Amino acid sequence: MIDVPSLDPRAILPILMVSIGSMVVLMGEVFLPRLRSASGEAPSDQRIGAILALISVAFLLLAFGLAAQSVSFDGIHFNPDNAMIVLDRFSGFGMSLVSLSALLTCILSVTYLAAMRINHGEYYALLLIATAGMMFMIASIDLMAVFLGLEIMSIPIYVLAGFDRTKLRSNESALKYFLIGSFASGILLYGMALVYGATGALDFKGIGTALAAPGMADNTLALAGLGLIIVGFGFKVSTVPFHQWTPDVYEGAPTTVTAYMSVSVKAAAFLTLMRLLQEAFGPMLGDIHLILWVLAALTIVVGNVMAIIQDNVKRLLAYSSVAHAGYILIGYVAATGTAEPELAQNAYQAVLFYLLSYLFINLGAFSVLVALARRGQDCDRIEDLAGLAKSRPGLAALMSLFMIALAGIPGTAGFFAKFFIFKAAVDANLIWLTIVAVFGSLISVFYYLRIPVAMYMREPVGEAPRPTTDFGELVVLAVCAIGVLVLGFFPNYGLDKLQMPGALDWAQEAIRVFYR
Amino acid sequence: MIETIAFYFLSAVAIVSALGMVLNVRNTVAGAMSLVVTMIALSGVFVLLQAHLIAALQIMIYAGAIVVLFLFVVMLLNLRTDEFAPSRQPIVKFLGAALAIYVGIQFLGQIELGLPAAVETADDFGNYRMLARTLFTDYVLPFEMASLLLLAAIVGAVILAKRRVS
Repeated sequence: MIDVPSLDPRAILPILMVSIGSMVVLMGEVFLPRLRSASGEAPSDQRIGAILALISVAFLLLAFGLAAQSVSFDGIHFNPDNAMIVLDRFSGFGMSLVSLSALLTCILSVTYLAAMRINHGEYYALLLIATAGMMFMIASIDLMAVFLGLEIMSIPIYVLAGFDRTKLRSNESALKYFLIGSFASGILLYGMALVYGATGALDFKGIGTALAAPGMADNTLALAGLGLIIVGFGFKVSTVPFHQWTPDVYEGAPTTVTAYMSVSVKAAAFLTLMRLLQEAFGPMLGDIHLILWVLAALTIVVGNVMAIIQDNVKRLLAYSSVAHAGYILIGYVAATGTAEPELAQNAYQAVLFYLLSYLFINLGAFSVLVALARRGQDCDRIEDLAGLAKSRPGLAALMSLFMIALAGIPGTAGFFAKFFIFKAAVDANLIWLTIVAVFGSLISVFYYLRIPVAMYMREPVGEAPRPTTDFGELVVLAVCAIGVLVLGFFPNYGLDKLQMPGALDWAQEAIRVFYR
Repeated sequence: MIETIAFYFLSAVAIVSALGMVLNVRNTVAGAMSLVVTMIALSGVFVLLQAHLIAALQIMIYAGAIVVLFLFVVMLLNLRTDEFAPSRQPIVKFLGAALAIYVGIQFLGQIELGLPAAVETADDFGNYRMLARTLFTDYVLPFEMASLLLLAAIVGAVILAKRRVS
């Protein structure tokens, strides 16, 4: 006889919602085209796409609400006998982040998919499955769950990158991401195997206990394993020298997928790494401090320098996302390099705030590119944006806003994001790293401002952009712009009526999970 | 007695073919085939341990699916032999050798000579009954999530391979 374990479904409700959503969308894709209106007409492809997007948005909204609100501090385990995942405030924060970005991507995609003639319902299903994987990974407290979540996240995204099957660029993007991503997964898995060999445990707590034993903190096997795990995550968040795939994949993938990928994959991988370092590898943090330092410095320098010479906005944003991974990594360097829990807590809080700001800024920037896409053709060279201020003044203004936010100019979310990170670094005595980062930000102002300069000071070249913006695109642009401005002026603004805490409070509550 | 002989024989085959895979840098396809031999020998070791299910899975998953994936990548990249020519830069060679020696020494230091005491295994170790019980109790959540992964893979394969829709 099998003893049925007592399970607590509340712990997986957000993941469950998103998974069910993906299956409802798949069913909808089959049955919606068979519906007939009163006059016997079949619904148009675009309408089906819009309905499927709405279904996805509904499920994601549900998941967002569940993850953001009903989170107990101690955390709920699904299966207390063998806890694989935990729903606590930290998981809640991460799940809300990825479901918000998936939600905005769904709204953004409706018109774009139709314009690119890739309007298949599977797009939304894959997007939802990837989101479920991210949620599972963020909530995991076991190496096996981390790996499973990573794969559930990655495989749909490989496919989404190649969703535009008729375009060679998209094929290249998917294949490159698939091959490199598979090797990265392999390296990560090898690292996990070494850690298991050294500690005999797969759950974070067990690894932490084993490593805390005397003499274990400089165990070669465990250190090698941790190194390989960091390499694996380095590929996913594209830190230098594991970044080479980023520009090609970002350029080739459909723009909406690039937007989603650049925000969500990065957030999910960074958050998972945070819990992993904090709960499993606590005794080893001092050993990897220097490695993270070098990775962060290299990432900032290479990302910013390579972005200067790009003529394609998507490639430029790809290198910019590499540079931003470097800034985020500074938070980890600061947290691992200090003995005072309070400073480490501030550093991690800064990372969480950065990820939230980056969501609005980067999704916003890509939404402008999406809103400009003409029939069957992306509008992604800097030349294409020349003179945009005359033909589409609103979009040009928004693009400028997102660019100065990426550069980190005061009054935008980007400023506070960088400010908190740099402050944490200075507090942790990382003077040289801060100098490198500030220098990198200075370089970045140059290339980010190339885009507003082209839009406002050059004459239009070639075809005129699309004359109108669709409703969905407007909604996403508005949400992102408001997010960027609110976080830029009042970084801790909360909505009491919705019981939404301010971003800083929210991040702090999430981080406190590690410092009970 | 027969078990011991079989164990040493299978282990020797596994080690030799594993070495054959690693040392054979000229012909990658032969290397992958060598890996198949290793996997089959390992599955024989599992049979000796009475873990029949694991033995079968070893052949199905490793010798089957994973080696096919390797071969797929090898043939897709279609690298020629001369592209495997050793790197001409001495510094790369030197650094590579230094790293390999360092890691080798570190790992050798961890090896304890002599055989460890035999580990007691449960009666149902490695058979389907134990696997099923573990899958549906302790690992029920990862098991269900894995089905989501398969769903994603199937949907992805269909959407990428579907005939062009007008």
